[in-house]
Amino acid sequence: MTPVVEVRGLRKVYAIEGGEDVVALRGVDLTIDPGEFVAVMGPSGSGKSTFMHIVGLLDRPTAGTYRFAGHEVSSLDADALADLRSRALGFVFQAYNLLPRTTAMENVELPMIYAGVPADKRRRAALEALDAVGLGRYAHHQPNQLSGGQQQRVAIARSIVNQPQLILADEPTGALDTASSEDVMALFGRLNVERGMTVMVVTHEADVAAHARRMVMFRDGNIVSDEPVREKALV
Amino acid sequence: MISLAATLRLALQALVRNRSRSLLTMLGVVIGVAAVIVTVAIGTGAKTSVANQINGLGSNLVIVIPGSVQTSGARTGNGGASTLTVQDGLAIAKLPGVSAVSPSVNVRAQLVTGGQNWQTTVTGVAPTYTTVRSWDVSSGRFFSQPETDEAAKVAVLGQTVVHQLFPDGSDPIGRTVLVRGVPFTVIGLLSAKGQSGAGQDQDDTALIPYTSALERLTGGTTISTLMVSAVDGDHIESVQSQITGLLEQRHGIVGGKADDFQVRNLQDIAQAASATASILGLLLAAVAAVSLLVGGIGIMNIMLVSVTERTREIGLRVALGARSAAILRQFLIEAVVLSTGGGAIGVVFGIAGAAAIAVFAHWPSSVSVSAVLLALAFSAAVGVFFGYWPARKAARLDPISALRFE
Ligand SMILES: Nc1ncnc2c1ncn2[C@@H]1O[C@H](COP(=O)(O)OP(=O)(O)O)[C@@H](O)[C@H]1O
Ligand SMILES: [Mg+2]
Repeated sequence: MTPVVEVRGLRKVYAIEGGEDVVALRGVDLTIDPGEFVAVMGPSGSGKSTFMHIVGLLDRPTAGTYRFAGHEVSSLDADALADLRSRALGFVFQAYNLLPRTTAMENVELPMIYAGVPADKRRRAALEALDAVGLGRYAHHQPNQLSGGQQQRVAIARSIVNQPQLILADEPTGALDTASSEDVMALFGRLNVERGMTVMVVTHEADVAAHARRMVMFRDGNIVSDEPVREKALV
Repeated sequence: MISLAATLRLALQALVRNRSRSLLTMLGVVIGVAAVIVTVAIGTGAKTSVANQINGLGSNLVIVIPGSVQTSGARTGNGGASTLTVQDGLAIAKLPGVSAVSPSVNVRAQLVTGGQNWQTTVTGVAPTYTTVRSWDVSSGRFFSQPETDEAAKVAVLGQTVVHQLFPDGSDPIGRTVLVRGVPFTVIGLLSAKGQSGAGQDQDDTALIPYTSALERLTGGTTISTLMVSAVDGDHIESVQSQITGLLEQRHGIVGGKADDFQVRNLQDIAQAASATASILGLLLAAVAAVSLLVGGIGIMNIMLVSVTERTREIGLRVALGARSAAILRQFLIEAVVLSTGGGAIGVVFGIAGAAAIAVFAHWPSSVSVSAVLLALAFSAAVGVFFGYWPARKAARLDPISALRFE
């Protein structure tokens, strides 16, 4: 089985003008297979977001190799990366990042517009994705008419609508209360189990990470532990 | 890849999301384009009406007027001298290249009919006047050469005089009109001519044979103007110089002495008038173009603000798979939609404004299709030109810092 993500010796160095370089990643090796649900944990500044941006093809590493779904991506140009993001990746952010004054439906349609999906198919897929996150009835609501948890679920619907090979979520519960956080993480769990979607969630909260089935711990730009999550009851 | 239609929809959605700001941004272009349409309409209208009036005076026309005279140190203005005579006119008529000559003798006089009276300019002319001024009767007939020779008491009335003296609409032909107490028979009515370039009502006149005017009204032999028609446009200059030579000889003007007459060519007057209209139009157009430019800068300003404000949105679009070309195109289309939309609204306001000026200020104006198309094309170009920089800025945003942007 071809891994979805295969990184070797991944380094990322930020050159700071008039200061010392910041090494955000110091040679990270990681493989994520299809169908995995991985939580990336670690203290603030440990390199989690940097790692996610590289995995999400939004940024390039300073050194190391990255094969996405078996393809070396370092040789791809910006347009090819954009097309790959559009087809094969789904993003969920801490701040939801929904377009304001735009219905849930239209927000979910957005990635399909960039993928060039025809309008009628877009509408069907958007409704289906909203149903999958339990918001079918809210298709014509605008973000300001939805709670934070509901907005984040719209964002999740948006991330799955193109049937991506990998869903990336950076602190998706960071702005939510405990109950909504549970809802959102349970939703990722269901998408992983029922639809076999590959999910990587970045978080610094242990009880959020406990929803995943594998936990990768970052510290100072290195992976310090990588192990299966124990049964939820034990957390 | 995203289609152009889909990009257009994204752009429109973004503009609608910020409805009031979009409308305010358009305002600059609306005003600019409306100003362009109105000024071009006024300029074109003025030019056509000048041209119409000049043509209305009769083509190939050369006018001879008395010059100024100096009497014991005080100079009168042009026309102050009473030096032109009927004999001068007859001599000019014999010059080669001259097709017709008509003298004019102007007399302010009270016209009286049964119950009405009206003061107007009674002009004594020759039968050739209809040719020289290309002005014909609308009913009845003009007086003949024999009538002129015998100083017949016949008159041809302008439309304004007809309305004033015969307000009941009865047929004036055959009726008698008293001119300074002298009874004249109305034999014809002039066709309506409208206002002159100077805003004078040309229909407020009555024409009688010049002989009648001299013998029965002024009692002199001097005339106000000689109107000379050249056979064609190419002969105007030679006719002018021949008239000058002839009159200098007849009036005994030799050496450095100033002429006691002036020979004017209508074409020159026409050109001067239309040049003035053109310069006026050009000035107005320049003002309008500047306001359109200011409108464009307004669009650029708002688009730059918009790019900054929507940094996160741009980062999101990139993360969702938008190529930078798609971002560039969307923002460029937003700018062009703003400017062209503003242009379209401006065209509507401009046409309405031109119509209002025509109605309320009695200023001729004509909106041409080409001016409308030009204004729209120009506003679209303004959008592309002033939208490109903000759009490029948006397309070059780094998605990661854009997503982190607060
Ligand atoms: N654009 C950047 N320029 C310079 N330093 C950066 C930049 N992005 C992140 N860093 C630094 O890299 C390190 C890792 O950051 P990040 O990946 O955001 O950590 P985390 O998401 O785990 O909190 C931090 O020290 C941070 O300050
Ligand atoms: Mg982070």
